[in-house]
Amino acid sequence: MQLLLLIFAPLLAAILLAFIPRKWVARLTIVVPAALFLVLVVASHELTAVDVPWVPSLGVSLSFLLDGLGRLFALIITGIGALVLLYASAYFDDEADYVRFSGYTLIFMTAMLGIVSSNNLLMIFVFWEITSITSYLLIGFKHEKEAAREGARQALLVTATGGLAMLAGFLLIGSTVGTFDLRLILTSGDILRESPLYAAIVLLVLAGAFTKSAQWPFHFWLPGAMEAPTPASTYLHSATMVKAGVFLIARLSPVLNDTGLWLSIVTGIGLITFIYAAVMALRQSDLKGILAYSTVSWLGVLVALQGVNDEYATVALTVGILGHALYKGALFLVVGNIDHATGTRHIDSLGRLARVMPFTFAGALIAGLSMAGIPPLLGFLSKETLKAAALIEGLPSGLSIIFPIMAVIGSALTVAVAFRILWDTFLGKRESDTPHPPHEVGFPLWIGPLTLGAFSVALPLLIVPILDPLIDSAVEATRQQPASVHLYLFTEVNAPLLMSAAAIALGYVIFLFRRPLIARLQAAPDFNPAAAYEFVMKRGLPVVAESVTAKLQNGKLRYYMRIIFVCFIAMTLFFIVWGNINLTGEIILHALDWQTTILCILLAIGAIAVIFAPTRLSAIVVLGIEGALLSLLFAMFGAPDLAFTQLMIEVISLVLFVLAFHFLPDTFVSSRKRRSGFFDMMIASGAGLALTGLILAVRSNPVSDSISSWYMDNAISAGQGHNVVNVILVDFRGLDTQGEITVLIIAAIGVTALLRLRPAGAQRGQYIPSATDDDDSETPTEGTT
Amino acid sequence: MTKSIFFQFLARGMMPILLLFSLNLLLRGHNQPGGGFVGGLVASISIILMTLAYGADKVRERLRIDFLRAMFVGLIFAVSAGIIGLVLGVVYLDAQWWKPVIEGIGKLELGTPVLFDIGVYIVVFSVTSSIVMAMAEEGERQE
Repeated sequence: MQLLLLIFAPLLAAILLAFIPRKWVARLTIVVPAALFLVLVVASHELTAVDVPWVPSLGVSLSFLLDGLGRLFALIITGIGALVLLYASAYFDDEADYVRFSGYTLIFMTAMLGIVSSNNLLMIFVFWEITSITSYLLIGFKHEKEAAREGARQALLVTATGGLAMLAGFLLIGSTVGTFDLRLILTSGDILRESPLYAAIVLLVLAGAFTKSAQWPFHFWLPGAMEAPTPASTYLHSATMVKAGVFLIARLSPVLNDTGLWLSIVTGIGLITFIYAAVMALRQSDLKGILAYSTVSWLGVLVALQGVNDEYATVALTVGILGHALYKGALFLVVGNIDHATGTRHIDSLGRLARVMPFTFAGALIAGLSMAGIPPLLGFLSKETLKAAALIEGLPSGLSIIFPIMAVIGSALTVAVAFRILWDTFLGKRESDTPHPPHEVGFPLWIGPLTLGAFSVALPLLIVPILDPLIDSAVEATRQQPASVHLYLFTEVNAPLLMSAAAIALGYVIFLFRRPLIARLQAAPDFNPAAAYEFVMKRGLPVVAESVTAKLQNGKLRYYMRIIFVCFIAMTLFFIVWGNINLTGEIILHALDWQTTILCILLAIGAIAVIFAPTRLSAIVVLGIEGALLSLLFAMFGAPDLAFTQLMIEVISLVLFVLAFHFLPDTFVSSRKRRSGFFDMMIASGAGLALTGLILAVRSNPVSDSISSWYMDNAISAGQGHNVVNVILVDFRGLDTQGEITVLIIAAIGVTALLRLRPAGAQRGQYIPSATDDDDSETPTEGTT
Repeated sequence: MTKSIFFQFLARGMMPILLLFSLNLLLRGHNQPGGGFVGGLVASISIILMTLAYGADKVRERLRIDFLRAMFVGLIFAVSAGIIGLVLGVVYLDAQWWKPVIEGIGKLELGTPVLFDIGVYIVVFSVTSSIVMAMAEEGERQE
């Protein structure tokens, strides 16, 4: 129960935001995550919540479990969340913007806490998609900007597509293991690894994780997401949401790893992302762009580490997650401050800010040095564990050489990027004036980076009391076995330490020669897969959609009717022939009495009369008579409800037809060719035959335990009514009816919109009126079915 | 639109009869032919008659019902029937009945299906009326 409250508290706060006065918004939005953070700090290591079934028939339940790994993430989510919301209270100039931002962020916080604590795979998916949607809303926050909308759409499409692939993977896991309960799944690794579906499961789950965690070649949405306000970039696109993919891999690695496929994909893609994005980060000149690519690069490391099943790798992973959240979060906030104070984020037009922005600089300095892996900061520990993991024994021969080399090169590039950010914005010469004269920002803006920096400094000093237990429990939860590796800040001089020194030295050299190098890089092609996305979205899809729409929706009602009827005939014939359905079963034919016979003859005469009607009005009148006769037939067969409703529909359709006359020529278009008339006749006869076949098929093959008898038997006892039709509509199948009336409302809104929004100069007989006319005659009948 | 005094008189006379009849259909629907759907259709026919007789603008002016809003009121009725079922019963739309006996009148049968049917009635009534009135208005503008 405690855990449920913890997860949903931010959501409740977000709902409360709508009802409280503006001046309380800041207090509420900061206090809630801060309180959750404190609860998590003092709470015991494992929190379990009650299991609330949600959709029991599908195995979905609101079951939560916060283990060491989840707790590490939850601490990051609530801690950085509190700082970001505090930051946002001073960041937004417009009060309304601030409230909107807080609402989205709090909803996101619940979703993210849900991902890291759900004990049900399908719930992880649900929360996963909520984070995608809140991320979409936050990237498109300044929705009047084209680039923001574009970035938001791109991020949503990439992550949601991956999310659907992941759902497919989850369903395969569920069908293989027989449950969606994570604790049970974590004990059935052997079943999964031996399953023939193993490869599909791995690829689908990784597709979700890789798109979310911006792995190459799906990484391009993350730089595009930098259109979000800086607090959102800090929180979602650096510290938390983009690590959801890393979390998912960590969660499922005990049951999926230890195979060649897993190792080659996870470590392969991770290392490619690591190096590619580190080079790309050097190329950028927008500070947020630099940070975005360097985030992608580090996410690559976090993924690559999980390819190997070794405790050192998991230790490096957990320390890496924490270290990165602290220093990259701080750097994003610093960039927000610089943007706020100078009006630009372009690194070439900045410099010498250290003196005017001392507090911001202090935060930036700690974060930058931590990013570069300078001892004794947390970043150093993180880089050190990475090298230790790269050197573990038992890797395949190729990887055992490539991994350490790549670790050093990638770290060196990270060092160069960190130095570049620090030097070129705070210390180096400023070559031009910034849009605003730089000044120090207010307390809520600089306290965030400084607090995160304080953690980067303090945690390595508090290894024994705080950091080691935290990492230990996270490693145990990830690997599902007791931890044996412990962290030390300094040991003797060993290979990882030497590699770190080499990386820092190499990084410094790259930093010194950065100007020619960056110029060279910027001239080179960037192999950006975003071009493929652009091609599909801007060229491929619109062209295909346009041609299909032009073919199918050409505005001619006759053409639509032809398509509908031809499809109906084809489908009916297909099922009758393919299913080898008996049409001549035991049909009990009743002798027709004379009333029915007369009615049927009248109906047939009417149908022929409609075809030969000279004007529209006469055709409609005959159709109305047909409807009335049909109602009579219904009534004679003992369906008074149906008959009555049919009659009402006929009356209303007739009125609508007459009203629609204003938009139509009086007579039919006379240019009908003989061939097209013949064609229509064929379709009409075919449709009649198909319907006859369908009825014969239904009557000859009665379903044994018919549901209609159940309705008959239970209408009075369960439905408390004598009119079975009505009991079905409002009780037994009430949800269907509710859906139908909703559709009716949508149709009515559509009709009103089409009629009212027509451009003033539009003439009669144009596209729009004919479309509405089509809608009107269709919609009321829908409800009766 | 041509205005016939006879037709106007007829429409006016029919209106209360049709509305009462539609309510009768709605309330008896659970046990005899009728129900919210057909009741809503009958009620909307009264509006259609008035629209044809007097013109959409006049009806809108007199009626003062915003059909686009009324639809959602109907939907709220239907959904609240479902939510009552969710709260009092086990699942959404689970039927709940309340049958108080009132001295001198007899037993009253109230239940969430009735509430639901009232919602259907309102939705069908306002959807049909709004479509017809929108079409009629458009026709008037064309003239």
